[in-house]
Amino acid sequence: MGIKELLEEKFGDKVSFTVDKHNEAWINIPLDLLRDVLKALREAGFDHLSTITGYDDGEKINLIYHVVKFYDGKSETVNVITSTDRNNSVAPSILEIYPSALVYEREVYDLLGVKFDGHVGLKRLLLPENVPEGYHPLRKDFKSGSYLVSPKEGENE
Amino acid sequence: MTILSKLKKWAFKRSLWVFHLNTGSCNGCDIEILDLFTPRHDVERFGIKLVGSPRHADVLVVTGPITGKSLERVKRVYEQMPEPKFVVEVGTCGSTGGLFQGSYNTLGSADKLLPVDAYVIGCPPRPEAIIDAFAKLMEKIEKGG
Amino acid sequence: MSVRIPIGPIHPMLKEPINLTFYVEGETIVDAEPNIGFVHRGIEKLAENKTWFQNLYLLEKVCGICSSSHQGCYAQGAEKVFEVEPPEKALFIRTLMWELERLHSHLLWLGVIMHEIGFDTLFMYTWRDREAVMDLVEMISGRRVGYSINTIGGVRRDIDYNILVKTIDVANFIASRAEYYERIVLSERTILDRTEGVGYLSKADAIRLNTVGPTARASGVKRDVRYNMPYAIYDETPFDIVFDDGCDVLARIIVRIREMIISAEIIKWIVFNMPKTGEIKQKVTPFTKPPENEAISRVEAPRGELFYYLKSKGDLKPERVKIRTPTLANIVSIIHMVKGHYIADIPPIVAGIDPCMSCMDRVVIVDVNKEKKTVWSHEELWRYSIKWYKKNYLMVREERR
Repeated sequence: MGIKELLEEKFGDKVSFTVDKHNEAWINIPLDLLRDVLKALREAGFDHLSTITGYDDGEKINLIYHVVKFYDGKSETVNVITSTDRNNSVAPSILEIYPSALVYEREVYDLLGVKFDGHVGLKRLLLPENVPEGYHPLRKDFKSGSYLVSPKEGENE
Repeated sequence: MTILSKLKKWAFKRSLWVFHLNTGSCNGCDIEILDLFTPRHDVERFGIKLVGSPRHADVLVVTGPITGKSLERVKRVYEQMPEPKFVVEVGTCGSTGGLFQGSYNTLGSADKLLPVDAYVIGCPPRPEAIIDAFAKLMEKIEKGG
Repeated sequence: MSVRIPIGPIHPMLKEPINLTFYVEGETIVDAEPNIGFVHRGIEKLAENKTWFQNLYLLEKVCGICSSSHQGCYAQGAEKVFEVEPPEKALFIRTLMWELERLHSHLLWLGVIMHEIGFDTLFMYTWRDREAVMDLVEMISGRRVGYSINTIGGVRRDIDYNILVKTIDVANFIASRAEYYERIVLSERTILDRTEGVGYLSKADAIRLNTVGPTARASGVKRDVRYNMPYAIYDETPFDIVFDDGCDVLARIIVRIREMIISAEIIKWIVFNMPKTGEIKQKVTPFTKPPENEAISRVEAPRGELFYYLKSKGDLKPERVKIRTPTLANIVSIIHMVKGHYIADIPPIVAGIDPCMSCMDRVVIVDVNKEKKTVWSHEELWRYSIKWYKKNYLMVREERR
């Protein structure tokens, strides 16, 4: 495929490319190559970012960027996987490359605690502002102590 | 005096003004509540009207499990309603917590926060069931609730 | 220096607003900021503690209006994880329910946006026509909202012959009503004044901001999951992509009405070509463990591209379920679209992307120059916008010429 040769030419063997049986392409890269790989993909015509998925597998936090190239009656998808540390989770922001990452990066920060360098106005998206620091529900070691307090029976009107 | 108060009660239960509040529901119950005001079910013939502000309302219709961000809003809306006021809870999410029990961001049943007068169970309940709840509410008002 | 106005319910009756804060100067909007999360119930975390089959019924309640799209997308992804292929008749029934859902969702939206611009008659007409679709769906599945027809490996119920005959009647009825609505929308002066030229989103911006669904197709962007990545049986149906070059709210209305007509055609094709006999599901039991796998599933919901990512570790419960709804993808476009418009244009613009997130709040309008902060309820904003347009429609019409 065209995109495989393009990436191997630019980044050599730091990029590992596989295609699974449902015809989805997966690329595994180290974190510091993220911006360059996504910029190369954007220039090759992959201009639609579906979303940014984050998940915690117990050892590290994985981030997957799903990009799509649409053309007449057909499409091509590529999924870029990278990962970051659990204790000091930072990742570079891709806001200049894909403007729609504004909401996706805020969601990953809210639910998994990954800070994106270079994002404009990184704050929580879904949970209220008054939750305690370090409250990130999708982590595997999350203890669900609820911050929601219901009034006691006597206070009910 | 009793004739006057009987007249007041009769007039009150024949013209209930409703404020609909969504505290985080999936919209299934909301579209069934809105269906009541469309030509097939048409509850305006019973005097029930939808208003846009809680300051004009007699009945508060609540849907959804109460989520973190909507807690303050619910309290504020309830305080703004003038007396006498009633609360009708529509859907399983607000009655018992429903499918979202154990989640970190939902309070569960609405009666931890407000005094509820009628519960309608269903996911979502049929419009006929919601009309039945209003009928029971009118009976309750008649008996002096 | 600007007054912050939190905009509450945008859908007047659905009380389903996105809580947006608008910064204005006089009557014109200069900036906007979204504030969402009122409907965040923690579904992705709950899904990790339930089995693959229990999740079918949890994920159906993500949204009550497009429930079959969510459940069908999850079932499609789970079938890729379990490595099973549903039989052909099951795919026909699944696609039929998807298209019926598109009909009822577009009729609902049409009624709501007509209410937003003050045209209540059309709201009552469309919601009355919608009852025909709800009755049909109740006959097929037993419920009006939340039909629960999908399962991993196929569908749960079969369709009777008499119901198929009724389906053709309903499809013809809705197609004729849609043609009637298209004639009204293109000829009524009141509708054209409030929607033509409003909420402009150019084609380049729509591609740059990754807009999805009919909002993008109304700006001339030919992208549709059924057209570019056909799934289920869409590559065999007479499906044709609908798009328009108007780039404003009027174009979004026209695109959705034409999509209803195309959906009616697809429904009739499905009824005529459905295999008469056949299995409706594969033998996958709730105690089967899937292999270690990950899968991606995309479906064209009535509002746009719906995306699911599923990961399995070989267990009875999934490791990760990631959902991205189409309205989240279109929020960035709203911020761009409202700039330069009047406050009175806010209801149709925001309702134009068909937001499917429930929020409730008030509208807050921040006046940048006067440092004045006003908090309005949705009802007040709606009344204000109708009164303002009655006073100023001549000026606006001259401006937009």
